[in-house]
Amino acid sequence: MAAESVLTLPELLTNILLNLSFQDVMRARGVNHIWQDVIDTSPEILWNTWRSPIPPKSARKHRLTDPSSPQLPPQPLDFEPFKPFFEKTLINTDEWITGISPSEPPPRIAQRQFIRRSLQEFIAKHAANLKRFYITRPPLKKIDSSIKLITAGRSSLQTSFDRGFFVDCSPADAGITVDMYLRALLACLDASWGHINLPPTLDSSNNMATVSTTITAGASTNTNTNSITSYARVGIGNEEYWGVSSPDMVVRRRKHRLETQLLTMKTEHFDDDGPRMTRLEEWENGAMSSTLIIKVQVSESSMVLRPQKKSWFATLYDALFGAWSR
Amino acid sequence: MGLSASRQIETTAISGHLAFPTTAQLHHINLPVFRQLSTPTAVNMTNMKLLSSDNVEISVEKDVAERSVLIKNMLEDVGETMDAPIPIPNVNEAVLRKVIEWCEHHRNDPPPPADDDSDSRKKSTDIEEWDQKFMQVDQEMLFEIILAANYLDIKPLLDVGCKTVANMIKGKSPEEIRKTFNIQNDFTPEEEDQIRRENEWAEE
Repeated sequence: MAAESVLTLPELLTNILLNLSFQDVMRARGVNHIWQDVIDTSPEILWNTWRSPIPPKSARKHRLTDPSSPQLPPQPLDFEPFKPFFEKTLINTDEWITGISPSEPPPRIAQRQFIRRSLQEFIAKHAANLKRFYITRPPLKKIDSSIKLITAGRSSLQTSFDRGFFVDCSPADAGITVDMYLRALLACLDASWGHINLPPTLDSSNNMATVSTTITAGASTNTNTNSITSYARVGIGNEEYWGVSSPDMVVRRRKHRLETQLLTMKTEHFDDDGPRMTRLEEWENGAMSSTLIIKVQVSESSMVLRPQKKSWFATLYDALFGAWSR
Repeated sequence: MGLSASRQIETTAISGHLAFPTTAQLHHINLPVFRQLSTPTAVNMTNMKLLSSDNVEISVEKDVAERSVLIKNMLEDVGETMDAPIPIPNVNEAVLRKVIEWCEHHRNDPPPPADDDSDSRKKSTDIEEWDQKFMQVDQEMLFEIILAANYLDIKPLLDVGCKTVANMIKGKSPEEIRKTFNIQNDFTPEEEDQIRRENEWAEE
């Protein structure tokens, strides 16, 4: 009974929901109409979820004015620290596998292609929903961004900077939305990475079936019991191969693990003590710097394909690694 | 703060004449003994009465009751002396006693910062240990406390209550939230689907 009163009073429900994380609040929209209504109309919740260009009173910090000198002009208002929508946010993480073959693009190109495609897919799927959110709080009209690509091989770490991009919204807009930002990012990737010629399809599942680099394993014979452990070793990417009774194909594959991280910040507002207050005029004129960091981990592994005879062992092998060979 | 300060002042005053325990020892003397020592003018020792919605009179020290902004303002309007019990028509005895228990424990809390803002609230759903234990009550009582804190205007208690409820929502799906609080789902399947699609990108 009391629960019903509390959870239907917008004021109290707002008070409760303001304690929750972005995800929790957005999810809670699905409880019932009252909750959805409160979450989509409360100025404080809208602000906290990057959906309002106007800070509620609680986000404003009035500077203490000296009561003894009331003749001073009103002090500028300080606002809460600037908050980007993505503050070191993982946009996407994925893994995919390619073969190593002359007909395939070198890994870097494949990575770029993958990054573009995953961003494209992400935008295509979610653009309509992302329009509601501003990329920063308060919304900014200009954003300067850079792209950094970190590639981690087995023993190397490469960093490369790509040309950055600039987002500018029309005066009619209250600020740059997440949707606008990601589209600008994609346009930049298309422009600077677009000149790379790629084979028409780079579908990882196809690649797995059509790997062309094969190494024929040696032909020495082992007993089956022994081979099981041997296969396991091959499976984890060891470069050594153990012979088995029939001529198998050992296929080397590359496993790419990709993390796309977007770091957005208004650099000058972060010092050693952390974020500091942002002035109203800084808010209104400010350009934000942001960095897209793409971490790519590449590891190579080898595996054995046994297309011919189906011994009991091959059946066992298929059961273990079947998903890979198909 | 206010209480211990007044204790110290009285101690020094008395110990001028008597071989009296040190201040440190005095702090271990419990309150009833101390009440006898205190002069009738000591403001924060004044008792007053509250009348619950089920007509039970509860005696409470004035500075404890003044954690409620509603009561504080009321007393300021009426003046210092108040013999008749103050009716609290929206709060029953059990809840009122619980609220008073909270106010007694927090009687010496520093006043909340003037601009209590989303920053301190945003910080986390951390609740201090004593408050956590205090809030280990059945759901009905928890929400009754929130309503009472709202009505009596005791913001820190309201915040603790809201945080406790927020912790019950954290990480739950809409269906689980409905189940927890016995809320009716008034969405059509299409509406539910729509909301789920809108949130899809935010979930991993």
